[in-house]
Amino acid sequence: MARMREVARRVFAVEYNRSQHEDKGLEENAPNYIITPLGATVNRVYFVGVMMTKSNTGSDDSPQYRVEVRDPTGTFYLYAGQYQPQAINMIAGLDPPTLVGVVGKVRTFVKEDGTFYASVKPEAVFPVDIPQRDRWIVETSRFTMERLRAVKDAMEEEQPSIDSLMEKGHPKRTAESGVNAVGLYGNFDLSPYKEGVRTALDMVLESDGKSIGPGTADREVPQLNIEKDDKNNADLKEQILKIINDVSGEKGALYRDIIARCEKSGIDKIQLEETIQELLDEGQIYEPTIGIIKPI
Amino acid sequence: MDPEQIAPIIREIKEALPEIEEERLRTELDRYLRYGIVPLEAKKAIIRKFGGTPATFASAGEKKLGELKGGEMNVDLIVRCLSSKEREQKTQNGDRTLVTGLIADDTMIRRFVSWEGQMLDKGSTYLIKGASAKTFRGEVEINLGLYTKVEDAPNGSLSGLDVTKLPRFGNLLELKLKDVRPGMGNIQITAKVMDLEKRTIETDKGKKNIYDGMLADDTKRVRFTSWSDFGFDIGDALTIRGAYVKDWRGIPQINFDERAEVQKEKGVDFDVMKTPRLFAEDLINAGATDIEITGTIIEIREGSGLIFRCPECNRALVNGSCSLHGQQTGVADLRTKVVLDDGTGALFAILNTEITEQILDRKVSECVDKFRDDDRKIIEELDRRLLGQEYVMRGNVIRDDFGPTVLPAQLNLRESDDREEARTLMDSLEVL
Repeated sequence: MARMREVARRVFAVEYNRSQHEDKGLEENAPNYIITPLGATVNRVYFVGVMMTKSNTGSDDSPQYRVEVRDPTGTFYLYAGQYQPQAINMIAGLDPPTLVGVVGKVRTFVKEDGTFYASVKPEAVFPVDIPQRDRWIVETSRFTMERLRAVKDAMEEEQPSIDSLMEKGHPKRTAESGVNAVGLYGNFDLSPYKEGVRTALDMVLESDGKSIGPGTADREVPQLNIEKDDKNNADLKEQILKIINDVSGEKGALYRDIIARCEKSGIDKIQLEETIQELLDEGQIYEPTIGIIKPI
Repeated sequence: MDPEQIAPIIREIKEALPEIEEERLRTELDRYLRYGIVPLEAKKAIIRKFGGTPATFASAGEKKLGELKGGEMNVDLIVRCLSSKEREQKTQNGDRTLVTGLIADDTMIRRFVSWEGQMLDKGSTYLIKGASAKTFRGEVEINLGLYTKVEDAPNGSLSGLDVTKLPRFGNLLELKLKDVRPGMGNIQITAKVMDLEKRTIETDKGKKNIYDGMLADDTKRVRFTSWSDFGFDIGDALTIRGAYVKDWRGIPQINFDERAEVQKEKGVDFDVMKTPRLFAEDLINAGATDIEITGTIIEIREGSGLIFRCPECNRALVNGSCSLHGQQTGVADLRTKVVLDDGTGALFAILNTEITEQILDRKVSECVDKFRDDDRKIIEELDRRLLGQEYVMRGNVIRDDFGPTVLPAQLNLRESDDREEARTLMDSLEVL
């Protein structure tokens, strides 16, 4: 039988980006999956978020795009090259910031030190409206909560199995997630994922659901819950730049090291991401590979 | 394991090991079974342990198919072959030809596998010496191996056999309609008759009335054919034991005849209108009739938009040419091939002319006038209107090698109160 089309999983960025495991399969041309901390097996993903930046790292003739799409919980990193011609065309026609839906395949990168990064090879990037975003958040919250429940139950069992979880009322796909999660990630703190769902649902509850028909040039950009203060912003920029310089080694600074230091200094993660983006835009730092920041 | 099942196994071991005390064998067998070893393996292990050779089993004598529990070695059977088929199987020692099929005696029908390619002919009656019975996927199966002899049965054996009076092949499986799969041989379902139609067909025994209709439970709707008059009507809830499942384009269709047991259920009713949400993953393994599926359109596939069909056979032309009828002047048509994905599974769907016209808000003729030379515009329009939208599709789901395909008769944007749903989810998040 022909290989079935892979499902597009609904996963928030916070869960996607914290994935540390992949399953490449044994057969030739076997599909590649990442296994998220909550045990979702993802080959293809569908998400909705704000296209924050788009940069052409190729040439005008053969563009390659690096795109950041932010959902309420974090940022998806997209890389589109010559093998994603459809996505390239679609991205070319979009101007950030704009609300988009993305269908893509997982792309993984393992650094020499074993650090694992999951990004996205987009197949399609298209404009969506706020009701579509709200819809995606609700569905993704539902799936994420299903997995959260299964992982929580699996953590309480000595030897969780698909059968034992199904006996507790979890559907088969979720029971599998529970077993995967505990088998690969052991016992860990579930609060970042719960917090992610909460933030996302809050966005729906605060949204007025105002519909803007697809194709309208000016789309309303959802509030990102970031309050900017220009004066503080300059100080913050300096502070973060100093931290980056401090934790930088020969090849640059690991993004997670920066996060860890900033957390200690009481800098909010969203603020940090924003500021890093600004520093990148200003050319004060650059990102030689995903996850590494290097001061100029 | 209950003593009734233990006794014959002990007897067989005893035959191979006549010098060992039965009590000892019983203890041994009990130990193996407690480790979850299947009786056949336990028996072999015990015989080897005490120096016997499983192959030198004394004949267990003539048995009826109905007596066999799986695990018997060296039995003799008188059976009629109901069907047989040769099959190539790849093994480590190259290809080998197996024969599989169904055999019956006056107790029941069972499947057989002939590993050495010994052929049984449909309709002939045989004396099979030295066969063994194994359990495979929950069914007892008769194995014909190297030491099995197949002879013609003595004249007059099974002369009064009427296969149609025997129970259907296979263990009775009690199922919900959503779990019914094409090819199942013997199922039990409880469902409501939604729709019923009488048809008369010609058979070699003259005219016969058969009944077509739709069955529904709280999980799915499935078409059925009853080959016999059981006197039920629309609205009746029935328990049907001994139905079998045919395949129509990957969609299961339940069939039953006079061998089945049909019982009207009083006080059983299904809220068939309020079926639980059906997920794409439920449709990956079997098609369905008249279902509702909700998902997001995440891709417009090649072959969508303005197409031209062969006037002879209605196939879509490729570069003005039909794969059967060559160069043709095509008849214009619109269709949309999409991927509908709900996060649990991906389904292909083909939206017909009417639905595609609705989406584009244009008739086929208008599209021909406007876009004949630039059909890319239509695809862009379809992308713009469909991608990322959540739809409820209602219709049939056929299934082939590439997976399930929805053929919706109706397409509606899903209406939902997302804030209300978000509030409910938030409440349950608090207690998670």
